[in-house]
Amino acid sequence: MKKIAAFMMALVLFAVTAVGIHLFAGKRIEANNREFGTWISSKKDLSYSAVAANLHDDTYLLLGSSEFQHGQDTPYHPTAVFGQAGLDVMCIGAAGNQCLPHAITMGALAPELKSKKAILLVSPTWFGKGGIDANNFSARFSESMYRAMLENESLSDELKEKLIARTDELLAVSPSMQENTERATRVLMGKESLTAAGSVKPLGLEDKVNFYIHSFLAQEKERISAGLMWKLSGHENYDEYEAGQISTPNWQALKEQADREFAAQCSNDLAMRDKLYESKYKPILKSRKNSETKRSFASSPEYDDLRLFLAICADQGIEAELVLLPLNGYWYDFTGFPRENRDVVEGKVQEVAAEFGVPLHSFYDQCYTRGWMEDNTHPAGRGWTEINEEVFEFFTADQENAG
Amino acid sequence: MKKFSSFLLRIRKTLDKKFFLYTGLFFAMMMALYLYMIFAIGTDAPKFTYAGF
Repeated sequence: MKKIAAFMMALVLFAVTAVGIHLFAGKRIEANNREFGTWISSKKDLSYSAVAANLHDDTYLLLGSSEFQHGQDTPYHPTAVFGQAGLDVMCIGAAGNQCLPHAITMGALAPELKSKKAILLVSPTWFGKGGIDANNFSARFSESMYRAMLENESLSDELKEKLIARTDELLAVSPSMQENTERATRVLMGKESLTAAGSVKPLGLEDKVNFYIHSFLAQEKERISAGLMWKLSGHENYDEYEAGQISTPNWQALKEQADREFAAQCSNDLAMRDKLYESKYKPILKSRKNSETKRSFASSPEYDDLRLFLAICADQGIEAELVLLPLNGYWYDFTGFPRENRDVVEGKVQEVAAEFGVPLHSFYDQCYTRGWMEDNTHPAGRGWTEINEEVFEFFTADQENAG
Repeated sequence: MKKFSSFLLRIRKTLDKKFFLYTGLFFAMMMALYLYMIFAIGTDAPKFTYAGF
């Protein structure tokens, strides 16, 4: 009797604690702080509820990849530039993010994105022979974004089917994740699906129960992780969101300052920041020399993933722009990557953009500009400043008070 | 009133050291299970490997 009473009391305490955690975590992710958007965190990127809760009427979407993790402590990074410029930009992306994860993210967030404007920072290295790596796709896969994409009633079934097929194909390396997404597809799309063995798996009550329990737990994990990391990184939440007063940064001054700084930090032939060159590239120089003579960007499934991303933008009424980043020409000449095999990427991305009537701003002509990149692919101060200038102009093009 | 007094007396009798020990034990087990269920999700996903060259 005593044990039963103790169990009941523990159950009540547990329920109160679980509800408390749920409410507390939910409150933590509603930051009402413009800094949330330019806070670079994969915990944020993976959480649909964290991102959606911080999309305001004046929030623009900036999608990219590993470049966001470079130069974070400098005055040239989007975090510093857009924070001071008063522009609310939601940056999503980390190493491993390519067109397909961003297509899913766009499918999920588009209804919440009131500004209806987005930019995708396109990296040439995405367009390798195999396209996105399945392991990296799984490591960066957001179940909540996927679910929100399926729940987006305004997204056409045809596009959903394409995303489902690509996702299922890539998640084969992670059977449990694949099972969860297949279950989510069955429940949210109300249909049967093929099992890995090829037999048809019908939608059942067990599916629904498992789906709702798993969804709840996964959402709790994302909310707790994102909320905790946000607070641990020293940020504050506010009661109400205040739109920023937009002011145009002094781009020229930033570029000059970046050039001066880079000149003092670069003394190698590959136009890289010395610190990175010494630690990351010098040890592998011997093995990398002329190691990529067969490499090419001419053919890649990534071009179709880019088409899928742009098709979703068109379907959802999102005004998109592509920004093509350069490669470090000195490095890729060194590795023997034939120039014609890599330069082809610019024309092919332009072709895809033209198919959808989407503008492409190419920085590909900066491949040999010293100070534009700090290593083989990531922007240095000048690179970030020019990217931010383009992003700022695109996002504020229809705003009278930008100045 | 009499009934209420006897109810309180019964509770007081139940609330001894063992009761709190069991309550704490059950609560810790429930929380551990709950947190495990939350944070075990996705742990078997492949790890990201940087190949940005």
